[in-house]
Amino acid sequence: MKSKVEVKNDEIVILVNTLFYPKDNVINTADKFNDFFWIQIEDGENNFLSLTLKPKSNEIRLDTAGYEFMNHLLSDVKDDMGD
Amino acid sequence: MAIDFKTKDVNMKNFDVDKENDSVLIAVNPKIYPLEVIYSAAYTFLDRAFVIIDGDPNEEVLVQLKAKEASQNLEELAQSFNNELVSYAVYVVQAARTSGIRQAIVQAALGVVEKEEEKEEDLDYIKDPLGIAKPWVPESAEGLEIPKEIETKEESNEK
Repeated sequence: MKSKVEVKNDEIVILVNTLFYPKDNVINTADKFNDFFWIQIEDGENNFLSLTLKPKSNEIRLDTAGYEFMNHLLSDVKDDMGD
Repeated sequence: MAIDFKTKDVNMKNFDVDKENDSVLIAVNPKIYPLEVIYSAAYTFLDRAFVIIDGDPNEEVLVQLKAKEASQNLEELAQSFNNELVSYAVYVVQAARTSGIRQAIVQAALGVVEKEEEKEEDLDYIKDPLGIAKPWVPESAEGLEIPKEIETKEESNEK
């Protein structure tokens, strides 16, 4: 499993597989997290996007925030699919 | 032909529990469950677990479920995900089977509305066959007494 969510130097690094999560949905979800994080999106290897989320405040729980991002992303993809 | 499950060496488990990471990795065959079904099943777990989907959409889809609470039974989580896959697969098949009926019902409903609209279009609002545009006057009220104030006004106007 290449996808990952990890905390490095007080930042969250997420690798997203664009075969399952299209780029537009990733950007859309990143926009929702804009108020709480400084976000950087870059092209990763093959079909992967690399996201770096740097929290704007110290009150954010870094251990779960990355996974919350992935849940929001899945929700966004599912919404686009309809029923 | 009946399969002898006692002799057949089949590994039915499609998941691996990672207790250290508090997560379980489930392998799903996309030839059995289409992506739409996998997304739907994963979506129902958003309140219970953190979900990450990875792998190859043509060969093998990997779904990682990370428990939100440490007390969650990871094996049970994976098994209920498998059940959810079955439920959604059935739903998709049934939806495909009944799509024709649903379309017919909607068309029939729209047909009735269209006919009613046509009837309404036949009416000419300039001719006003229903007399809606005609202003109401007290004289047109049959069986009602004309208020005294109106009567006295009319009398004084005549004088």
